Amino acid sequence: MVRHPGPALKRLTRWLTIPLPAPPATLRRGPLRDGAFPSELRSARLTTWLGLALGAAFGICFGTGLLSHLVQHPPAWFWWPSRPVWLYQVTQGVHVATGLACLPLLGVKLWSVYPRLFTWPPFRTVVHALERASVAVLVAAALFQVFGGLLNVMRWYALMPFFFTAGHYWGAWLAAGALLVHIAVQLPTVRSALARTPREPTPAAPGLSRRGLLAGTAAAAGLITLATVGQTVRPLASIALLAPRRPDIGPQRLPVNKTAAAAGIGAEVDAAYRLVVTGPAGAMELDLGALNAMPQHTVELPIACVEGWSATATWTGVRLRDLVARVGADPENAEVLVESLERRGRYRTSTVPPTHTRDPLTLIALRLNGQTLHPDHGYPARLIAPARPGVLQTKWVSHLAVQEQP
Amino acid sequence: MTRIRVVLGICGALMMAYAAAGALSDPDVEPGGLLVFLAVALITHDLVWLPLAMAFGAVLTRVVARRHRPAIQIAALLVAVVVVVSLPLVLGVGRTAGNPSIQPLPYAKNLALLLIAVVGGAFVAVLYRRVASRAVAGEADRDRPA
Repeated sequence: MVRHPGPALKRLTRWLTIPLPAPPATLRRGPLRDGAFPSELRSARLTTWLGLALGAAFGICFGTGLLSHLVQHPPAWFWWPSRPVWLYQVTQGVHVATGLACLPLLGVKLWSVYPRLFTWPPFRTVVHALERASVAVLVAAALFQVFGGLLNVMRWYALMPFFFTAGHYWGAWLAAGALLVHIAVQLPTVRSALARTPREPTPAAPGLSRRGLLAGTAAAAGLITLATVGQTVRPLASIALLAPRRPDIGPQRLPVNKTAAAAGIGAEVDAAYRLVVTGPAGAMELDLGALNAMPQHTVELPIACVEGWSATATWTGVRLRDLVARVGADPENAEVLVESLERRGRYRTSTVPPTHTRDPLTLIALRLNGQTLHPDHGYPARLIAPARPGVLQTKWVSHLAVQEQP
Repeated sequence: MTRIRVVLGICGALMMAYAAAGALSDPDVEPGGLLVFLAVALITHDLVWLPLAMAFGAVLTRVVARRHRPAIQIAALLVAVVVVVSLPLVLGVGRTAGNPSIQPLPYAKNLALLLIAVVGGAFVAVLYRRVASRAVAGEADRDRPA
């Protein structure tokens, strides 16, 4: 531990904290003037409470988003269970609902600190300049995450000149890092704002109070949640006036993300269809008749989309573990690469880890809600497994490559 | 507290560096497009949206009597949030030909319903306050000695 900083460190500290020359006072015009923002509602305490709520919401979004990323791109150390079946439905539903609720929180929070954008002098020291730069990164990253997320949920891709999933992931690290730096800088202010017991001067009654503004912000977050969360919470579907999806609207009463036509899957698959399964004991081909002749199982499982909607349905088909056993692998310890008939597309393959392969609820489904799968739901056969993102529930399955784990 | 602040600051700086390095090395990220979006979001919010919202707020405080402001200001906040969220739905930008399960609801009508509910709620609150203050004024008049 350095108790007595050396001359180099002393020089650096001095350089970082030496007062910078103030710009000429004649430049202090418009919003830079003293008292340019007359609202009596702004206060350190109000900003602190908004910041705490927003920080908690960002924490939830970061945690659930990171989980979703790890489930889709699992590193060697990561393990994700197949039960409870609703696990991913809940984590991703919470991610999107919390992200949408952030909209009013972020808006009011930024309004509450807006005068600080016009602080005079703009940079007191080099440290002050760096701190302001980190705040600019935080604000930009927070807007990027919240509005980017909104645009993605609403599928307004034209406004995003980048691949959303990758941008949102790295943006999350940027926002979380900038938030930690912001907390480090503001911690004393937060503590003193929360510790202050005597009331700060409030606006002369009976206008809008700070408590009223907090309540209004909470009401806005609540209204947006109520108007959208029905896309995943079915009892609230009927009041979800602004939900981009309804769990019961779509072919066979289930929403669709990518249609057969969009995936380039035509009616020609019908007669020629064979499911190829390869494993330690060799390869086998199964046509629809052979698949239907195998023991059929019916399960209730949700489809949970990364965009936040989800819907539970009844699926019937062949257990993946039964197919794994047929090619000589141990169903308790096998990984399966599932390939689609789709020629292109980021999600044309997915990997089923051993936890999900061994789960008797994981099916190669042939029927949905008692009917033969609709083409848009993956006819002739699709993967359906518990607690997985919808993009990993591969449709139009053509090939299963089974590998036993060491 | 200083130690906690130092640890938080270092962790935060490391995470920001990880984000920058990761974004630059990820073949799926187009850093140019990402930077443009970041800059446009920041400028639009700070130099267009907030000044407009605050100018609207300033007009409200001039036009609306102080005692009616809480209801009107909160209603304005709710309307702004609802309009921002519903705009892409009402414009129908996300709709996809051949997939009617995407954005299947009558969003313009639903937005109108929400706006009517919010504005109606604010109107009722203003009316209630007006009636209540008149009643108080009336009682005060009665109590005054003749």
